[in-house]
Amino acid sequence: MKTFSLSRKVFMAFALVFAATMAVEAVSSAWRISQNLSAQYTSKGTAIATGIATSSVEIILFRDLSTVQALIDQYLEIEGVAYVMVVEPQGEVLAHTFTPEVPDEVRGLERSSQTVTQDLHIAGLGDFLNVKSPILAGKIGYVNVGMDRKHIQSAVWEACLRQIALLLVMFLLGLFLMRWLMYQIVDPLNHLTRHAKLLAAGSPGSAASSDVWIAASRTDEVGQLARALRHMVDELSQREEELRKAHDELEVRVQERTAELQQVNARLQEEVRQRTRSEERQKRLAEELLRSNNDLEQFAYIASHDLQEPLRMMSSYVDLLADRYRGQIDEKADRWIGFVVDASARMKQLINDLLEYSRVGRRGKPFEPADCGALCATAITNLGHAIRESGARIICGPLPKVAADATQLTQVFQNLIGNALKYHGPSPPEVHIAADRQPGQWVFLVRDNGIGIAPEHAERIFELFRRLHSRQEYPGTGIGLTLCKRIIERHGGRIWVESRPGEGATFFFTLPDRGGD
Amino acid sequence: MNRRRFLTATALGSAAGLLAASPLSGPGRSGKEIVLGMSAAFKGPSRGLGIELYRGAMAWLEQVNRAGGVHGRPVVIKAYDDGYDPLPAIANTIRLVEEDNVFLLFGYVGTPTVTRMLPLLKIYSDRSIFLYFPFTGAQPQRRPPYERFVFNLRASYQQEIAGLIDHLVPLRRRRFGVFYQIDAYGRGGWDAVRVALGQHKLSMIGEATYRRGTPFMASLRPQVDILRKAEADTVICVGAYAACAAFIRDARDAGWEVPIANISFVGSESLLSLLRQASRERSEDYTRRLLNSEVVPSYDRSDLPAIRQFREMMERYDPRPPGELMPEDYKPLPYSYVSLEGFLNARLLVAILEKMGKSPIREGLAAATESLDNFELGIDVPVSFRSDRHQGSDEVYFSTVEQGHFVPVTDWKRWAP
Repeated sequence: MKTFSLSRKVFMAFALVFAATMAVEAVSSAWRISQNLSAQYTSKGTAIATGIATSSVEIILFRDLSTVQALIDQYLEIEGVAYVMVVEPQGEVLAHTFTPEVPDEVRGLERSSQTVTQDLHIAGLGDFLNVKSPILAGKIGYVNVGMDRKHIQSAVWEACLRQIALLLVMFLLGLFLMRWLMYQIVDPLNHLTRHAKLLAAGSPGSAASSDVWIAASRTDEVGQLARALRHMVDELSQREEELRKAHDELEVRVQERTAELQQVNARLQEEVRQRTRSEERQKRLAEELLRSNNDLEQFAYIASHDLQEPLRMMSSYVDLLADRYRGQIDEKADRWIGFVVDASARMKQLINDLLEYSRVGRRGKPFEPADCGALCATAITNLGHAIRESGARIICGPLPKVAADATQLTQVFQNLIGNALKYHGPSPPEVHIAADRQPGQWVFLVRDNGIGIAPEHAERIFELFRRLHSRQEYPGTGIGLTLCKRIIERHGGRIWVESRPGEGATFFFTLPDRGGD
Repeated sequence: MNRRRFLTATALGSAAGLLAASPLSGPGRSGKEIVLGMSAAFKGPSRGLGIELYRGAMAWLEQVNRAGGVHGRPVVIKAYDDGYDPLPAIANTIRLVEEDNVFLLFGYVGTPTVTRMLPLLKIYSDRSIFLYFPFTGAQPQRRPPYERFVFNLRASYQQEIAGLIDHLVPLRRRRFGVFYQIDAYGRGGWDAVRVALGQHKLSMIGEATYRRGTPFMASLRPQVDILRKAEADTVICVGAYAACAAFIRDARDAGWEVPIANISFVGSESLLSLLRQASRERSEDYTRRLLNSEVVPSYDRSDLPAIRQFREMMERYDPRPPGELMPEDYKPLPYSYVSLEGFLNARLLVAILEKMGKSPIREGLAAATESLDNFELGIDVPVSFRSDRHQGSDEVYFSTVEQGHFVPVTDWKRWAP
């Protein structure tokens, strides 16, 4: 796009304003001068006419026409006066100033006892303002004074031309001044613009080295602008330098970081590979474990189920033997038969427990909402005999509803409460059952005031058929807690014990909170 | 404008005065010299009048002064140029009276100038300032209220014009047209024509005017056409010589052959000089059918003693106006009606001064002049003044051009249509 330069715009505005001013000024001054001069000429003509009329009375009456003529002649000297004429009442000319002759137009002017002003056109001479004044009320004659309109016109023209000439001079002067100012302002601005463009194009160095910065030494606004631009250029150069340095540094750092990252990456990849490998191994192990677990379960079930039959036969026959042959053989035989009966009964218990254990995984019912309070109450009812026998006090706090296998969970409560009743100290057992809601899970506790458990046994007590005491001290096969652990784990929770010997024990187990209540 | 002209004129006058009055200082009455103050046209279209009038007067004064002056006192003229313009004439008069302290005013030229300076004489009446023998036949200085401050030698324009008309009307010239300068002089002349024709129950049949100062090269053909259209059979000019000569030239160029009469103010030789020059340049005789009225006899009349003295002294002294007042391009006329008038004026004035004794005072001038009775001036016409008569001569002479020279009119019948 072609730029319309500031100087040209200013010039055009300037020229327009001047032209308008000139036109308006010329017209208005022409009108004004014309009006003024007309008024001035009218009053001047009137003054002269009445003056002559007043002073010529005696001269006309007593003296000669030379004197009248001399009187009127001097008025021709006055600017604007074109002619003076003195006529007798009858119209005879007494004195006049016309050459080469008196025009007919002035002879025919009407007479009046008043001073009369009228416009008069005289063929060949032009337009005049004729002032006619009576001498001694018209008894002696009349004075005609003609004021030249041409004079007015030429004065108007002269004034107009002078005005225009003056305006033109001012215009030229203004033009010169403007050009100078433009040179002072626009040229440096153009330089600045050019160099700002260079700057924009990205070469502040070349812009800064230019001679345009001479403008910066000026004290005016252009100087300020130039200084500001120079400051900007300096700043930009500096920033660019800094930026370049920062960029370089960054590049080095990026390279370093990239190298580090690559190393870390390689390490991570290695780790991932290892983890994958170990995960695979774990998976394999888990699978193996699951398989061996299932095999074990299967084995336990089959063993316990299949062992029941021969055992039942053995115990039936041993019982028969004991019943029928007690006291018949000898004492020793009776004792031995008694050992077999006990052993078969114990074995039967073991096999039932084992069967029970294996059934937790295989015969579990699907989870349904269950009121733990009710389940706990069932367990307490089931333990009614033992409770009464031991004189125990069972305190059950409010318990939540959870999604669970109700039978199994009842078994858990029953086992834990049963243990508390079984392993009591000298004082009657006191059992507290409570539950506490924690994020994502319910934590149940069953606390007793029993004999307690040494911490080193806290884990072992959950192992299958693990017993800390002799059968004689505390009867049982040692399947109870193992069963609890298995049930809780099936429900997705865990079970542990906090205890010290002689201080009672607190069993905790968790169940996932699935929002059952 | 008026003021500027006034100042210019004053400056001019003062410069001229320095040169003109070189050996003269002090008041005219108490000093050695008797100083006469003169304001006239030494420059411009009418300069010939002032210069020739001065020369004629100085011819006699030179003679008088060489013979020891008036009662031992030389008589000198202090002259300023007024260019035939009223305002400088007024300024010069004031200067002459108030600064130069002249004894009397003498040798003024022109009606508009004299008419306008007359009130000064009234103002200076307590100093008894008189104007002697102005070169104008106008009426204002011959009438109240200024006639008592002025002494005229020459006949009036009215008398000149009446003389012309009185001679021409009987020759059956009836249609008079007037060409005149539109100022006090011309209008006075116009009035004189009107009055003179009225005596014969006639009126002028046409009139045309021109502006004072019109030079010879200007065209006056419109004026010619106006009068010709009015079918004038005689034209009377009341003007200055340059314009009148131009009018004559244009009339003849237009093929208009009517007699053209001029009055004394044209300074016949000045008029003739221009016409002869034009005749030479255009191979056309512009000097035919010209009639002039004069207030002094022809300088060819050697039978008159004053004329003989005039010619002798003009020849002997060939006086020149001093310094600036004598333009380099002006060629003085050996003799002329104007210089003769100046000569006669000086003769009469010296006679008056002589009557006043060794210690003339201004206050004695009027009495001395008015006591002149039938004074023999040497032109065969006795000159008398009285308190009610301030014009010395009523004599009008007529001349015409023959073979390039003005000669007295002897045969009037020639001028019949």
